[in-house]
Amino acid sequence: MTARQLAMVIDLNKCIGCQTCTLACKSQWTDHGGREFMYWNHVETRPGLGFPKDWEQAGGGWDNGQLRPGRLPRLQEDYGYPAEFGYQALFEAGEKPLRPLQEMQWGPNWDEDQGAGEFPNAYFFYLPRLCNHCTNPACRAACPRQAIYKREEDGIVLIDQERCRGYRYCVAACPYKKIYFNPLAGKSEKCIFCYPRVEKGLPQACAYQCVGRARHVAFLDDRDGAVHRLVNEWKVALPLHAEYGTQPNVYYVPPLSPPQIGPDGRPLDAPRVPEEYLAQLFGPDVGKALDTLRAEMAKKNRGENSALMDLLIAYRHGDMFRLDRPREVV
Amino acid sequence: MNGEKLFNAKAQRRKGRKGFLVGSMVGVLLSGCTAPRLPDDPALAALRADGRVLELEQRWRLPAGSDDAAWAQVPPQRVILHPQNAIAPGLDGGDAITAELRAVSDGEGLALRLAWPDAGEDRYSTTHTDRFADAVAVQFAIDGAPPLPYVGMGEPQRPVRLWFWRAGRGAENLAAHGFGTLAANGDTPPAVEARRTADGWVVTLRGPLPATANPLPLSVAVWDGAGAGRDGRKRLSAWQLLLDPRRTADRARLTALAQESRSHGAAQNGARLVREHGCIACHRLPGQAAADIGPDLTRAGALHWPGYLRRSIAEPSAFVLPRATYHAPGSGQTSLMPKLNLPPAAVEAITAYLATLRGGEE
Repeated sequence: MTARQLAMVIDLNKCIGCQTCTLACKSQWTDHGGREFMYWNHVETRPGLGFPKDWEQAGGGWDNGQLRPGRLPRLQEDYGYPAEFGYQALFEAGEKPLRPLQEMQWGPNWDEDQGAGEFPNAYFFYLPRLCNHCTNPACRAACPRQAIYKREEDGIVLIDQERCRGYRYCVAACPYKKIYFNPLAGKSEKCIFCYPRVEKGLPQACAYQCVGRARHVAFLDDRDGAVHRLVNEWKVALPLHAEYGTQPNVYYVPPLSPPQIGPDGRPLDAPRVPEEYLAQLFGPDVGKALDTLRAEMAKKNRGENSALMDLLIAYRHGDMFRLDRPREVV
Repeated sequence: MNGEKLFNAKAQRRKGRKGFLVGSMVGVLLSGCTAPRLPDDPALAALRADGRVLELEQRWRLPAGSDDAAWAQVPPQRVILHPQNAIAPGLDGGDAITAELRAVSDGEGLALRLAWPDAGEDRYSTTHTDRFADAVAVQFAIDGAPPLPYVGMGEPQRPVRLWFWRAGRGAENLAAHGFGTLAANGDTPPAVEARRTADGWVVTLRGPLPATANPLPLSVAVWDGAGAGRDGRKRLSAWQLLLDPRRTADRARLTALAQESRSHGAAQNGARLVREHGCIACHRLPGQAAADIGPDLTRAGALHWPGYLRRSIAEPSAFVLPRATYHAPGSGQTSLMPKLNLPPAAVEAITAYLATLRGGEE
């Protein structure tokens, strides 16, 4: 545990998969120098294999206090390399459409159009992912050079680029596969939780740019912050794959969904997105979280007051981010 | 003697051409005259008998590359490289391999030609995130004071320098003083020429002599990219002494090294003591179940000199490898291994036994 932990809550009911967060991050941090294939923040579609391809089956994390073995994703096959286009074709006569020069095999959100289920009960939802700035990071434990550290003042996990020698044990150890090896630099790199912005009291670019107002940022110990209220008080924000054992600090409000449609065309009592599937991602408490959300949403629909809904609606953009030191801690 | 004359004649020619080299070459010549003839030194004879010495050939110029005809006149010397198994991540299993080292100095520079078997060419790739490159490193103990540092990256008070080369990624000049401390040392990387043979690599590394000590302790390590080789996933040699027979050597240093090189105990007694003290509860030993609390000792004698083994038995906390289970909980740098307070004869016997453990190497 560090003295403080900055954390994020992402409301999946508000994420529309527009990738504005992805682009905010990419244009800020990963648009050149061997980082072209990296997405420190990306939005993938679930159910799906995600990015890098099939990351949930790539190992890593903790198993009874021991690091669980993991494998390294491959650049072309698992991440997918951004394709080059022969733009000069635009200046030549002919009917040839503009196409990537190489066949791409995979990429971020590659399987967006798949989802699961059969019409009329097909379903999907979006899952934004970034480094979880874990309280017990497997990446840090796996590095034999102590190149990875967690900042005492905000719990941000960083790779010391001077110490890193590109061994990639961290890449294998991260169960979320959110550390990327930069093959040009020969070093591993990852989401830095926009610490230069955080140090100026600004939220992360991904959170600030989110058009859906889906992301809340606050210190976990800030009792007036949205993160503490949603995670600890309302218990509607849950970590992704807590069973990996790293104690992630990005939390998700699980997605509600419309009812399934029965053979007679009438709505059934079961949600379109099966609760068992959500439990695989967010753990056994997801049902209770969804019940709370449904109950509070119903209140709001009846014209009653719901502090939870007000918090999630986020009437004022600025209310979603609390990066200053709360008074009781100073 | 003929060779020596030839050498001197060439050195004279060079003196005439390059005035700034005169001082150093005179030093070399003088030392040849005034120093006791090194082969007569009993400590050196013992070290030679133990196979610790690599001969450094003197030439008036360093060979230019791996294919320079001059290498043909330099005798190849065998260096056996064992899988690193003392600390994870390492190589689980695998056989030792034999590298061939040729070493030449012109008095100021050092050229090393290393050849080692490696099944396939694995070069660094800027278009892959999951591939590793074949590599070689030569490590020099630059602090002449005994004892020799730990063979893997030195120790806090006993730094090492390294010439490191990776296929497709060039060479680096590095320094370390213990696990995890490897860093650039600010000096120019050695000049490298590397080429593939039918079944391995031939790599020539050239640079200024990393230290003036004679003998200069060095060890060799190679990584196989195909086996995800990097960091501790390597094969390495024990310390070897690169000896320039034409320069004076520090006799006190040679005597100390000779003591590090030998144990006077009876290995059979040592084997019995190891059983009696239950060392297998923590250490992996030949023919025993794989205990994983302390370092694997199945290659203890191949990777370490008796001096290091002796120190580890008598003073377990003198140097502890950085792995959680090797340390007493919450102790900082104290070894989990108890200080056994054995009589010196028992320490010698166990040292002698461990020195026989060479992972099946003949």
